[in-house]
Order: sequence, then structure tokens, then C-alpha cells
Amino acid sequence: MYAVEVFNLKKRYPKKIPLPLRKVEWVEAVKGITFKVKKGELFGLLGPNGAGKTTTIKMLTTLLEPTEGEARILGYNIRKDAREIRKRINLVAEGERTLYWRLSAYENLKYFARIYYVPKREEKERIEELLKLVGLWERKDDLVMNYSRGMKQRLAIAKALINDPEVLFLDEPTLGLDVQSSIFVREFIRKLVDERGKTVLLTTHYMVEAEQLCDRIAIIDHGRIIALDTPDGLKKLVRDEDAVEIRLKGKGTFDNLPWRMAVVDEDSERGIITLRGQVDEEELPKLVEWLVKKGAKIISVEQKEPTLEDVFIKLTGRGLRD
Amino acid sequence: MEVINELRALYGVAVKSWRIFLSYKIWFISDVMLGFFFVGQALLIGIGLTGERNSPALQRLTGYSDYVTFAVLGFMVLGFGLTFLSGFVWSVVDELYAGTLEYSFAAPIRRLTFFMGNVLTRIFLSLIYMSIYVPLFVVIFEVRFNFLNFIKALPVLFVGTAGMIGMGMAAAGIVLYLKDPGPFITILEMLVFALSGAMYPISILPRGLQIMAKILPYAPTSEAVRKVVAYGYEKASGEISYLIFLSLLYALLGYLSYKWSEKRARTIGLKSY
Ligand SMILES: Nc1ncnc2c1ncn2[C@@H]1O[C@H](COP(=O)(O)OP(=O)(O)O)[C@@H](O)[C@H]1O
Ligand SMILES: [Mg+2]
Repeated sequence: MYAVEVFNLKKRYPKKIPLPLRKVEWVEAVKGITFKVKKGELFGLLGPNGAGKTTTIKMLTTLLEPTEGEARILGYNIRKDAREIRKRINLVAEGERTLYWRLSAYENLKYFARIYYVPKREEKERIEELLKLVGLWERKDDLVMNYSRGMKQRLAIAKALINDPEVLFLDEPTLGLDVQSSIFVREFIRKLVDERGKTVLLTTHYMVEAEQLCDRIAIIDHGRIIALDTPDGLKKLVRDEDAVEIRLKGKGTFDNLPWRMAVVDEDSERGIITLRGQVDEEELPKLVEWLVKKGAKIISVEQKEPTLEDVFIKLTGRGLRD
Repeated sequence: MEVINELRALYGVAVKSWRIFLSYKIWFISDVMLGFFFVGQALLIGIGLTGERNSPALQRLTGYSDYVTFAVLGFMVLGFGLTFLSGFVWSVVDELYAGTLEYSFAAPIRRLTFFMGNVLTRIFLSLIYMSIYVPLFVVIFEVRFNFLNFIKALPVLFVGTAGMIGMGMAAAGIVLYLKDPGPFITILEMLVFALSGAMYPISILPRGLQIMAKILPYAPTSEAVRKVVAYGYEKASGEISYLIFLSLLYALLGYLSYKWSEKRARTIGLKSY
């Protein structure tokens, strides 16, 4: 039995609110995606900004109407059974301003417990358990506006567990968090799946996160799924080739090279650019020559273990960064 | 079970919006002061223009000779009407733009419950405002009306409320699409104020505006309430029947148009949605 089944799902947005007599231009945000998530699986949608991840999450959580295609959550149709779905799922939305900053953590959870129909006799216990679980029990009466970014995100996760959902949707759950908070959140998500049997569908544009955390990953780009497999399975796509990382100093742009290389890091302070991609031994000298001609000063050329980022670069010619 | 869950959800929303309201302490005070000065001045202008408290012209038009009593009753209805309209719209807009609306909309709670929860807080607030203003006006302007009769008229006010909620929902539906809803809401409030019949009888308005006033739920509510306070239910049956009809119509149309509007918002995908 699948927790999430998606068939050829599409979404297009009008660029401006359609009015009579206004010519409508469309943005194709999701261009027909198909995938299934098993019960108890931790499934990741990995893709750069604007790939269509948030749009997908919003359609699956019944916040947005799909333009075309179908999806079922726990067997319920997202177009027809929105309320049944809402009772059984929950989500952590993108961004920081999603909870009531003028209320305390406790008051926030009480509110959500009620609008999720948590039975009265379970409410108190559930809220206490969740606040302890995410380590906010000591600060439960503080206003959320005084919380750090990481604490806010932990509260958002507690909120997402308030109705003991079978399926959890997490949109970029570690975006903007400090390193420690990110680690906490990732371990927490993994435990939800391993110890509590939850099904999790998360989105991220951090390939390390996807690689370490997810059972299976769909790589999404420009509204299309371009690869779907386990992290190891995906890395097989590049295993035979060599992942090369070149660090150089130079002005100008090094995007859109005639090789499948992408800028993966840019240290603007020291003016150092890091390029990455698959280049075999014969091609490498030509590449270096090309870069030098472009005015680059090569600092280092190194072979690396292939990662998911290499998979993405190989498939798209671009990096995952913003 | 279903019903109990929904009622608990309603209560949850009301408590939440009440807590949030309380967190704006200074607003509360400025709200009260503003209303007081505004209405106080309107009353003084009325007295200044007629030259005296008891106007034969007003008596002829409305059956009330005492302008202040007339206006205070009207103001109470208007106070209700405006709390719904702006309160309603702002409670959606504030949350929409703060980003907090999405989590509520993703929950299984029924949309009507969500709105009514917010409205419940506003009703409570209105009652608090009234209980501050009315005694003040009674003392300062020596308003004379039978308080018992006013209590009797409350059911009429609540009937009108259904229509005002409908107006609020319709306006909320429009506001979902506006990048900057401030001006729209202000204009709407001015219109409602001008056509509410709170400070003057609508029969002194130009013909076109009179018709508009008649088909919005506010003036018919003021008129019915005033008539009941002055003459009792029997004499006001005509006004009350019309109000019931109008209110139900607004409630229904408001709800449906909001539903349609939200469905459309889910289709075209608003930025803050
Ligand atoms: N409400 C909207 N109206 C118009 N275009 C939108 C809207 N929301 C998203 N988009 C566009 O749809 C595409 C996908 O966006 P999104 O789903 O947010 O991607 P991601 O979450 O992967 O960054 C982007 O090009 C974005 O600009
Ligand atoms: Mg996104």
C-alpha cells in the first residue's frame, strides 16, 4: 500500500491575476510528475530553487488545486477528499513566518490541537509530549517571536505532529537553520520514520541532506522529475566517471561551460570559484586550457568521490545552488 | 462527536484571535479612544446643526425627536457592522500576509467555523466597546431610552448580524486577490458608514444612495432596532421581515461568494497562499 501516489500531476500559474480582457501568460511550475511513496518511507524531492517543489507540496496537502493529473494520499483523492486527507496528514511549510509569533509555543499548539480535532482528553498530554520531544518544554510559555530560528522550526515540527498524522510533508525543513539545528531536525525526521513508522515526503535543495536522510530521492528540475532512485542508485549514474573539482581565481562567469561543469561554490571575499563535474582524463587538459584562456588562474584540480550534486550536474549541466 | 469537535475548534479559533488581539495593548486603547471621539464629535455636529437636542424634523422623519438617542442607537448598530466588516477582512488579510493563514487552511476545520471563531471574538470585543461607550454617552449627553427595550431589541441586532457577516465574507473573498487591500477596505468602511443610517436618517440621502442603503444590511438593521426600541415588536414587523429576508440573502450570498473566491484562489495560486 502506498501513502502517496502521484500521476502526471501538473500545475501552471497565471503570471498575473486573470481579469477579463487581460491576456494571460502562464508559468508552468510542475509539468507532469509521477511517483509513489511507500508507507513508512522517507522520500525526498531534491531540486534547485524554482524547480516546483513547493508547488508540488501545496497540491498534495490540498492547498492548491492541480491543473491536470491526479494524486492520492492514503488512497484519498486530493481533488475530492480534501477534508479526509487533512485529518490524516500534516505539513511544515517553507519559511519562518508560519506560526503565531504573538502567542506562546503552548498556545500555538493548543490552537492547532483544536482545529485538528484532537480529543480533549488527549490534548494536554499530547502537547506536553511534543514540546518535550522537540526540546521546548522549558520555554513553552515564551512568545514565539523571542525564539531563535531553530526553535521556531522545532515548534513547527511539533505542530506538524499534533494530529499524529500518518503522512508528513516537510518543505525545506532545514532551510536557514544553523548547523546544530539542522542536525537536530534531520535526526528527528529520521527517527519519526524509523521509530514511529511515519511516512515523510520532504523537499530540499541540499544534496547532502537528501543523500544522508532519504530512502529514495526524486531529482526535480524545471517542473520535471529527471531521476528517481535510492541515493546509491542515483550515484551509480556517475560512479564510472570521475568527479573533478577545480578551484580557480578569476573574473567573469564560468556558468554554461561547454562541459557538464557547474559552479558549486563562490568565495567572493577571496575571489575563489569552485567548479565541479564529470570530466575524463583526455578532456581534462582541454578544459583547463579553456579556463585559462578565459582568464582563470587555476589553484587546484582534484578528484572527488561522486555525490548527488554530480548526478544533478551530469543531468542538467547546472549546480544545485541558488 | 463531529459537532463537539467543530465547537471545540470554534472555541480554539476564538481564543487564539482573542489572545492575539490582547497582545496589541496599545491598539485596544487607541481603538476605544478613536471611537469615542469620533462619535462624540458626530453627536456634537448633529446638535450644532439642529440647534437643539429635540428636532421636529427628525421626529417627522424617524419617530425620534431626540437626536442623541437616535444617533447612539445607530452607532451601536454601526459599531457592530464595522467590527464584522473590517474585523473579518483584516483577520484574513493580516494572517494571509503574515503567512499564518496557510496552516489554518491546511487543517480539517471547516472554513465557516474558522471565520465564525474569529467573528466570535469580534462580537465579544464589540460588546466590550459598547459597554464602555454607552454608559459614557448616557452620562455625558443624558441619553434617555428604555434600556429594557434595548435588550429586547438585541435579537433584531443579531438577525442583522447574519447579513453583516455575509458582507464580511464577500469582502474577505475579494481581499484575497488584492496586493494592497488597505484602500479597498477604507473605501468600503466609508461607504458602510455613510449608508448605515447611524448618524442621520437615510431618507435625507439622494435617491440613488437611499436605494443602496436599503439593500445593504446596515441601515435596515438600524431602522428595525430603533423601531423596536421605540415602539415594540408589533409595530416593527414590516422592518423585521425585510431585515430577515435581506440578512439571510447576504449570509448565503456572502458564504457562497467567499467559497467560490477561495476555490479560485487555490486554482490560480496567490503568492502568499
Ligand atoms: N503563486 C505563484 N504565481 C506565479 N508563479 C508562481 C507562484 N508560485 C510559484 N511560482 C513559480 O513556479 C515555479 C516553481 O516554484 P516553486 O514551486 O516555489 O519552486 P521551489 O519550491 O522548488 O523553489 C517558479 O518559477 C515560481 O516562480
Ligand atoms: Mg520552495
